[in-house]
Amino acid sequence: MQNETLQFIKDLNKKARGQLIGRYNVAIFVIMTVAFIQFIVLSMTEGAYTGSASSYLLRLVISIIVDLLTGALIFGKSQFFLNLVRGIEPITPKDMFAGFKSGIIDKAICIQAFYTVISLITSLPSILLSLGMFEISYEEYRSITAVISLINIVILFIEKLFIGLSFYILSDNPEMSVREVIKKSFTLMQNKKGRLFLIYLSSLPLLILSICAFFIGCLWFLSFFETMLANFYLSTIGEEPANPFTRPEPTPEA
Amino acid sequence: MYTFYRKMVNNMDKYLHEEYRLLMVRRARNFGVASLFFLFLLFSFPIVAGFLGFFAILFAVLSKGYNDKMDREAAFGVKLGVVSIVISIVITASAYIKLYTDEDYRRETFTYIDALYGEQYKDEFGVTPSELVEKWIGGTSNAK
Repeated sequence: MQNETLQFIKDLNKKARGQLIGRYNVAIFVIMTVAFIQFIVLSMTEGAYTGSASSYLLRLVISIIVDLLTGALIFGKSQFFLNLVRGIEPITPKDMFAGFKSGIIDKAICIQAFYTVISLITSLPSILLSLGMFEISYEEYRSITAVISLINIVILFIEKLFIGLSFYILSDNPEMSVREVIKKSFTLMQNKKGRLFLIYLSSLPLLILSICAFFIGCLWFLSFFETMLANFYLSTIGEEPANPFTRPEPTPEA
Repeated sequence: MYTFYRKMVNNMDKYLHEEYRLLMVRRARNFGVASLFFLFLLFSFPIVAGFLGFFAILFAVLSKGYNDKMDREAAFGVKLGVVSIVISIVITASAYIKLYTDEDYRRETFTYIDALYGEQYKDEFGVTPSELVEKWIGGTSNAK
């Protein structure tokens, strides 16, 4: 069983590396554009903060709205990588805006809301601290917020083990309701959470390597990781991804 | 732009795939060579050499594609990358150790750094680099 899981992860690695050959430019373009849009919009929310409690709350509300809207972008990114692993041609960066279509954007926002709400609940203590509701020193504030951020990351990670496939499922079944999508994600992830966890673990060495490469290497790593997750989704639904080596050669015209 | 992607990305058969994979293999080798170049010819950039070495390893790993084993050229890039990372770490560490232990060298270095960035640091952080080092390690008092 253990060897089988290791072989599965090795295969996913191999497929992701192979599928990205010759397509890193587009994949990196998509990753960069999504990250850039998120960065620009989030830095605009910083402008709302003037130091007062009311401006802090306003910034919080704006950042929640922005976080919800990024659901559409994340959906588009998932769709792009799903098309890439399936070998659907032409592969274009336009796919990353697929989440803004009517009928999809509301569902993508609803799925993203699961992450936003959990994130909001776990960071509630740090929000209250920032508003000055408790008298504590700056050092205490820093250490408490660091612990809360760590807890937040762990909880979001656990959440990903359950509903991490939602955007892929929505991409395949746009007619499904959000409830059905989440339910299907839970069903697909049954007995596979350990595998997804191992996928995350197995990508750690490459992540460290890409961080050591002046963080620029993260662009290659993220493309690789997203492709690996899309391959994982295909494996859960029992679909074989595209492979140019198994593709039938075109017959010469007479 | 659309035509560019159409040409670059689509209609990927096994021959085109192999061609692109070999491009990546060469990129890994080139980064390995560049890292050594930065290390030996431009001796004052060991950190850049280290970064390029990591890039060489990253590209070499990714250039395996569907194969289990790395190409010889990519493996060569990895070797060069590892060598340059190790040497750059040794050079950087030895520079820091010398700075920490040799008082004259420290004074000389921070006089130079203060002349370059002293005012800027004073404006931004209220302290010059030499004052900061004087507080924690000592031995830069003449550089004020």
